[in-house]
Amino acid sequence: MDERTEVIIEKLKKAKREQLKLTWLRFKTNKAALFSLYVLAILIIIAILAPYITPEDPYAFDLRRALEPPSLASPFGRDEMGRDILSRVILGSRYSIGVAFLSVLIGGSVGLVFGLISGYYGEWVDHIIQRITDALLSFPMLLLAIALVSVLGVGLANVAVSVGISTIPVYIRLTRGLVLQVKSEDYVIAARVIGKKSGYIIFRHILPNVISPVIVQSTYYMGLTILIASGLGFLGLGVQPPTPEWGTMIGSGRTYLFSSPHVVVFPGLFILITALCFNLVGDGFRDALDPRVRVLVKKVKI
Amino acid sequence: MTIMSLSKYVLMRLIHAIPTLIGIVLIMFILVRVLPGDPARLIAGMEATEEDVQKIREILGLNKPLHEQFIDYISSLLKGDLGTSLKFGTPVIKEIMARFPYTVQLAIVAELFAVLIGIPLGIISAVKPYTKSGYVSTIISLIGSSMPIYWLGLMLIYLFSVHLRLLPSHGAGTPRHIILPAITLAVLLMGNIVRITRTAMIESLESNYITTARAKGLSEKIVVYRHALKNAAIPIVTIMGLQLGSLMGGAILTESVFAWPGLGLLLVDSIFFRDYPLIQGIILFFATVFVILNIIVDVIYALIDPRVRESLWMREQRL
Amino acid sequence: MKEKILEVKNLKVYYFLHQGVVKAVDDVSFSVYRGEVLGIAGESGCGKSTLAHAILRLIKPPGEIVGGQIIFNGYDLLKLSEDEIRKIRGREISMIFQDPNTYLNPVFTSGFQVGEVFEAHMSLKPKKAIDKVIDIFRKVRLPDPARRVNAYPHELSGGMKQRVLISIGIAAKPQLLILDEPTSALDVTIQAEIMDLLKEIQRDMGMSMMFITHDLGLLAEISDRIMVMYAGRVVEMGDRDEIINDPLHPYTKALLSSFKYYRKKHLPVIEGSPPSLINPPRGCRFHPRCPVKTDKCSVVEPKLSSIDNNRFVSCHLYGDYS
Repeated sequence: MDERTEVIIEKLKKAKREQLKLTWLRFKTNKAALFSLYVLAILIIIAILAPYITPEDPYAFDLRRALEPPSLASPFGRDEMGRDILSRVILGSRYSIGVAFLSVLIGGSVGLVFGLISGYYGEWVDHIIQRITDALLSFPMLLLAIALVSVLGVGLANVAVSVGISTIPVYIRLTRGLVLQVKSEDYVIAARVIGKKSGYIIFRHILPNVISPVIVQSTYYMGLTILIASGLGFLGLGVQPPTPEWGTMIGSGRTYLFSSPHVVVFPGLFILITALCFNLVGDGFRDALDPRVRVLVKKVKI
Repeated sequence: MTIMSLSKYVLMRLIHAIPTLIGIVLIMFILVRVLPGDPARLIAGMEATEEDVQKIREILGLNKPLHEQFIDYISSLLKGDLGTSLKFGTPVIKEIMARFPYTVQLAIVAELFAVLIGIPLGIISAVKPYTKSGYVSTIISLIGSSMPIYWLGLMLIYLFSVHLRLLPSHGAGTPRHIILPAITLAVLLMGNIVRITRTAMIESLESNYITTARAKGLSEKIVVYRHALKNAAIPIVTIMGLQLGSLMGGAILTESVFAWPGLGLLLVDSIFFRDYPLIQGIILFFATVFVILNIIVDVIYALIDPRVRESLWMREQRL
Repeated sequence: MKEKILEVKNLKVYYFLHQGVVKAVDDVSFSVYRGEVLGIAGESGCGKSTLAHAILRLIKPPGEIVGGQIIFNGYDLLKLSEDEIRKIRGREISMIFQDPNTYLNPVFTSGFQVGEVFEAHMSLKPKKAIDKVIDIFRKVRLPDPARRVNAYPHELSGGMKQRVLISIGIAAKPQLLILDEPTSALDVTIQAEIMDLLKEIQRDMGMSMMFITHDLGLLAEISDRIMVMYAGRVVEMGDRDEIINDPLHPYTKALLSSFKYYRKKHLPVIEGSPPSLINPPRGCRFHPRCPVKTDKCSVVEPKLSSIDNNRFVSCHLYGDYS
């Protein structure tokens, strides 16, 4: 590589960094999204540190203190086994957010790969993958997850896999559509003409253009998978008690709704807040990355 | 659009749907066969002898090679036979049909709530983005898409059944029984409807033909409700179609919370009973209904948007 | 002395954007006389389209009319209420837009969309106005008008769609017709037909026109007077023949030279690119690209001054301002 090429590459890298900075600035103008991002960061930190920051042992039960309402000692009250709900909610963040993250990771990577293959190679490969995607898409997400769980069994790993699989069809569709768009761009055609290998083209040219929408979609999906995974937990088909997944906690606690609603209120509140934050951040990413969106500034006095 | 081309379109869609349906059946078939556990033994019970289990296996046809089982399955499906429920001993199709109307009822009422409240909210938030109603709509749509509905259901039960003692908390029977479940489900649907209505209206209002309409001197009301809305209707109908998935998933959860005797509750129960024919049947049923509803949505689409009719007409010529 | 039907005084239209304030129309003044065609020329982005929208108060946020007056038949349009301006739109002052593909609503028939003009101003339901619409279609030489009335925009060709837009413009027999690049989206042969049609309509109906385009050739055909805009300002204004044959402002000269280039051996270009409207050049806005600029040009802004009875230029070469 000669000197001039090096200079050009440096300039491109700098341009890339500038673009990232610009995207971040655009994101920051969306106050709600920014705030949600901070909240999410806090929640994720809590999830990571969970075992070390719970005030009490989330599994330690004390039947004499069952269903105690919120107090100074237990700000969220105690559940039907006398366990401290605050501690369980804190530990639960690990499971709820973790499962959501795993699902999106599984679904996203598989969906991305198949979408790339389907879009790039076309013809019969595309056909087969599309037919399968159609079949999968004809199931509503929760239904598909339930079907998979009824086969694989319950438990954290199975939930992550089931929910993950239910996200795959949309990822495939999304990726494929983007690949088809990018495939017809001049620089891709040029690369093929030069004789670059398919893998190289997919990786260097197509992937970077596909990444942004996939990230936006994944953020939205994090919100959705939390709802579905905890939904499974609520139905008893997900993470099993006594593991304090938020949905599972609501499921076990619902019998006591009439007398002690606090058992159900707090885990659900956290699900709501987390999903809300993911949605807002998703909106923020989408607006920041979309070149057509013009950001308004305050009026200046002339 | 002629009746001929419309029916041709429906036929074409149905034909296209067949591979998808076969795919669904195949997936279900494979899934159930793959499950860990021996259905024959489960049916026979713990105390049964090897002989008994074998006999049951024969009755269920589990001894035959897989492809034969599949063909049996398909042929019975085509006859409308979805097998027999292990728990109830009655034909699966009968159980499904008994509960299906309840789910439909819930779905329709919920969708109605969602549309009657959601669409106006979406329009307002698009036309007046920086006013109070605009913010309210944005908040509602956000909450709708982030809310765990089973939790919402429980909260509503606590508020209206326990605290206020206004509405029944579970079961079906009187018209009052449907209110809370329908509202709960509607909130889920409203989230999307408000958001899409708003986006579609904003995009429509920024279009050039809106400028033409204003330049003609038409009142703002006509501009918004006639020109913008009719174009926005297209994505709105699309989203209502796409929502069918959330509708079904939401129905499952809502029925669970309120003990509403619909198909969703039956599905969850049957999973706990390990009633495989029933599980399979319900899932297949849901998926098929979903496919058919999507076709209907496409037809409505063609009726609203004249450009879709045009491309259909061209496709018909090529046919 | 000809009667003025429109007088624009010191109009300013700004867009408040994230990057800054775009001064799209920055202190523009001119008049339109009854029965004449005023051609408005300039490059893309010079503000002429914004000007057109501003007259009918069609400017939406982040754009805003921040100053000036638009006097029509004695009233300042900028001071009218929403209801009052609506009575003027489409009726007294009408507008024809440039892209027939996006300016017609795809879900309504062409007849309906023209009929709406009658609905807005003569309380006539569009369906009842069918006959009137067919008459107008005949006038704009739309073939087979009775059938076209029920056609959707996507079923019509570009030229036909533009005729529909023209029909919308002339339906209520307005006093002033504003045309914003009415032929730019059409191919050349259709362009010529539409130009003929417009000339005929203008003659028959005796309406005043503001014809906006970047194509000076069209203006040479149809205008009585020509106004040249650059970077949100008016740089020259006068009778058509005088402007075409004896342009004064360097920018006008440059525009005309590319129009008359067949006389030269190569296509002349104007050096440089259109200026930013957020931070326009100091002094005369054209000076970075001007072949005859002086030192004064980069410091002092020239004002639009009258050379002759009808002739205005904004350039230091033709006057002394301090």
